[in-house]
Amino acid sequence: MKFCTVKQYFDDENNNNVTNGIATTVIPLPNKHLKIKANNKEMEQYEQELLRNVMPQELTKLILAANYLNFKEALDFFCRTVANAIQNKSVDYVRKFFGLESDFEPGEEEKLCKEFAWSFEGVDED
Amino acid sequence: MERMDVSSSICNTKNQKFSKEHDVGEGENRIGNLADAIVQHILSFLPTKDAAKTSILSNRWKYLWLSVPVLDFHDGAYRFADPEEPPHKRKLFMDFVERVLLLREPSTITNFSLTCNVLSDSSRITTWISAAVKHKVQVLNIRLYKIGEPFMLPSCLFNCESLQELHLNMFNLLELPSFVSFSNLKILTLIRIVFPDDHSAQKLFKVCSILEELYLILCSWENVKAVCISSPKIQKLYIQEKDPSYCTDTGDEDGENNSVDQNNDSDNESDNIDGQNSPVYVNDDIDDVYSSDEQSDDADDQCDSDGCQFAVFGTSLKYFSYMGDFVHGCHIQDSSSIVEVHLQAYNGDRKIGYRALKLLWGLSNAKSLELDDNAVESLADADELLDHLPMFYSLTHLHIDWVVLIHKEQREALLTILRKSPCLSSLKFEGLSCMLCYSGTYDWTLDPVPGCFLTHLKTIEISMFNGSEIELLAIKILLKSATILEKMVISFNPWQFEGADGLKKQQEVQEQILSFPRGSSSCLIAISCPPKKKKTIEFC
Repeated sequence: MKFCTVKQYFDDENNNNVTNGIATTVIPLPNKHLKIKANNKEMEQYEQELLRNVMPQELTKLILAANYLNFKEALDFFCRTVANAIQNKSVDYVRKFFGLESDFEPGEEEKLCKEFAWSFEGVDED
Repeated sequence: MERMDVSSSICNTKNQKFSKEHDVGEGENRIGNLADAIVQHILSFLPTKDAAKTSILSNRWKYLWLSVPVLDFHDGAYRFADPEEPPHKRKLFMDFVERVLLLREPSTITNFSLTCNVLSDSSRITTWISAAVKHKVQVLNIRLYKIGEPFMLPSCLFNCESLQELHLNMFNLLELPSFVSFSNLKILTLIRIVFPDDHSAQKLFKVCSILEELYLILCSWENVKAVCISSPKIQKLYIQEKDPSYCTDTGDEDGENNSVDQNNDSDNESDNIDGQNSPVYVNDDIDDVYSSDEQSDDADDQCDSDGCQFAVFGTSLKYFSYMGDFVHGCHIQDSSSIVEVHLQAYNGDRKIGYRALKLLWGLSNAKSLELDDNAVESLADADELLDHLPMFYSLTHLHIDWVVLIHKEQREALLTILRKSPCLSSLKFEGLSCMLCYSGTYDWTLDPVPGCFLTHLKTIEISMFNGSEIELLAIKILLKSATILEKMVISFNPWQFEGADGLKKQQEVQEQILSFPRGSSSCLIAISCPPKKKKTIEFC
């Protein structure tokens, strides 16, 4: 399954989606994943390292690569890493992390905060 | 499973173009510019509270989070603190859940988790659960506390065709409607549930025709004499008794750390529980109003009564785990498929030893056996039974937690098990001895040496090693007697060896161990010190 796509990747001439650098990170993953899978704690550590060493842009590329290679476990893993990175963080932090800018009309933000008031209580330090 | 569907639909949108930010730079490489499906996949790993916060990131994100089919509402209340959540916050929470359910109206819900206090809002909460059921939920996880009056789960829950995993955690009587059907249910977890009688317990288990995993934790079985679990595909059975020394109702740990991560592996890929801790639920303070006194009397009776008799049929049972005083009988019809057995006892006395022996007789086909210190102690206390332990002909892995080596009876119990395991190839001690101050003589001999030491034992693993004399003696004896040993792996208890002194001690101990004579010429010894890790309690 996963390896079919990998083979296809190598056969495919137009693989703009995945640069070589990212492929070398993602492709060894199946083995590492299998080893780590049995031990959740190691997985957490690996995730911490990943977060520290890898910029959000790299993470995006990893997600896209996992997506392209149809590698479900890697996709889940990277997406979960992103989710953990933004959990309980302030909106500004998340905007920066995602590389977004607010394009709201004045007052729209406040309206949303009020509509979903409960979720905007209590936040981590950046 | 939904997760697969989402992933495969994501994988189909490979050649997507990203809208470029008018801001130059690596527009395509911003996480924020990933396609909707991928963003929703990321958001599905967040509690709904955090997903909702993305609504104010930008216009595109305003309602993106609402189409995530995974909902996880956790009210964040501290379970055991006396003051209840301020009513203001409570209102916000209740309104939030209702607003979200309303706004997402026609969309499917694949995973629904709810952790909250019930107080006087039973009917509202019941409506929420109905909503999840009506929206074809597949994984339902409900944890309720502070139930003021008996709480009625909606009857539509009990014939939800889409349901694949059901986790109910509430101190509440299980009342079933007349029609019950769980034809797609694979995993069932019941925590603190009170079964009213044999009939409803049996009815529930009977309709779970493709059930694979069953977790019965801290439930009340006083009204059930016997029940039969006959799902042909049942693979895992986990039973945890209420701890009789805690006579009050049970809750579980601080709500904050509990969020059951049902986003994690809801499809049943081969779960091996090697390396995973069995879920441990801590009995805690009074939580609910009614029957707490009756509960304590019943709990005391429970210790002396026969408990509930479980008859387990089906030919695929692989994992059996029992934590408690083995009050309930488990009769396993066909144990030839058993792979792993875990027994953990709350106490270590003779009566429990007798019950443990009875259990072990039905599980003698196990390939892997894990016993904790109380289980070993209970067998040691009933030492007249030791000779009557079954032979474990298929046992290749034995894992012992914190045995007390300084007690002769426990050493004997351990040795008896080893002698009854002729094909044992791997032996693991998590904590070689939980009592280290030894004032006896060091004239232990391993006589006769267990057969497996000479024919099969290849690996010995020791963790949480403190470097004490008694542990060193045990290691010396093991190294000498295991004549075909290939590997001994020792890891220090990081809390015992801190700082520069600790490092020095480690060196000394290491040198000592490496100098012990080895009965096996090809034996390698690996010694390390793992980093300190905060002990986390995992919940299923």
